[in-house]
Amino acid sequence: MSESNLTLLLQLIFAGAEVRSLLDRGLQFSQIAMLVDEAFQRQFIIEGEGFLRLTEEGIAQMKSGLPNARIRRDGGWISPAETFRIEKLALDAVYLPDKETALTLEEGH
Amino acid sequence: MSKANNNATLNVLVLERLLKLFKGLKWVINSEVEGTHPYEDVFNDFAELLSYLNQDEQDLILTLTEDYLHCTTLQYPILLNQALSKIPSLKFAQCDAVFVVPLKAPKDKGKVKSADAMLYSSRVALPKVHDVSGKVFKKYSDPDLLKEEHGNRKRSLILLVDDFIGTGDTAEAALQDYNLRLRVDGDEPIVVALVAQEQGIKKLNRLGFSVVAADVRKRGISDNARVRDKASAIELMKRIEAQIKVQKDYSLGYGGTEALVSMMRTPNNTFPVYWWPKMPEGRLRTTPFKRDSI
Repeated sequence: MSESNLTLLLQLIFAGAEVRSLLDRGLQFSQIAMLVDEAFQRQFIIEGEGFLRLTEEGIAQMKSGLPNARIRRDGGWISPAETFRIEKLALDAVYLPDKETALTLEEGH
Repeated sequence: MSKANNNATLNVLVLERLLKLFKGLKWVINSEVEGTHPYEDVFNDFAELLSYLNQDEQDLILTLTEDYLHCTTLQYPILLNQALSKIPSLKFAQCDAVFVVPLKAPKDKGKVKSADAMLYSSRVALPKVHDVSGKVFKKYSDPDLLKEEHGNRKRSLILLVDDFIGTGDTAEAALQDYNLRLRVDGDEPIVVALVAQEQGIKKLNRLGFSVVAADVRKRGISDNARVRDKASAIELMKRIEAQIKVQKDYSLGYGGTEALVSMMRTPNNTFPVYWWPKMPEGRLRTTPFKRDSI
């Protein structure tokens, strides 16, 4: 999940977005800050005067997290909702989410 | 541990700036680093505070916080030694007795204040910094005992201690009481503080008292070289305060002190944005530094 969080962070930086998506994954601001640190250390991002920008390595890392590396014509993408990812089930198994998750899915969260 | 409010969010750039700020202040947010005060909760609370502010307001708070002083209990002994070292050795050479008492206003008699916590550590630290051998050397939690037990004292150094001096109002009340009821000829009173706002020191100096402090602080906006447009910054701060309905007496910190300080407890002289406890609707406000009451 940590690599997935880092990839999402890079996507948010690319989009100039806020960190709400990472908070929704249960991360705290301090943990997100540590991800930012890691992104710098791994040279995925650089800092300019009032901006953060992805390096080529950062863009590659970001794309690696996108299904089939598809970016829409408008430059946007749809990231997998990692919070709903479950372990792969057997072919004949039936997935029954707990009540809370079911309600969340019902609300179209 | 604090958890972000459901509505709280922040731009990555602001979070990155906050991270740099904490690194610059050596406020370690990785709680696994030994021997350091943990700042993880402070970071999270700070980020949540910023999430309620607009860009200009965030910029102001981040700029001011570069000069913030947080004195943890780990730092108290170091600051105490620094403060005591500022007392000229000659004062000790010329006295027969040294008395240490808390700097407390008469209205606080009987209450446990930060000055009382300073008393024991001052008694322990002083002989390591100055030569008190051969002298009467006592501490009294009740300054009245100076009169009761040493009413005939001569050539005595009176150290009145506290961790923080803000406006100097509390210190003034304590010192006026000392002058009125406890002082005798031959007394040499000196106020000893770990941290003191410049305006507080000047006030006590005008009253005729010497003050030593390990760290002397200026006003956070009005005396701050980082803030170019001070009038606008003051207005912006007042706008933030209006959003959280800070009481008039505490605007820009009690007495308009504009302090950027937290000790064991955050003084009310510090800008209330950092500690004001409640939102207008009554719910508790997430703040990086706390006071248990206004």
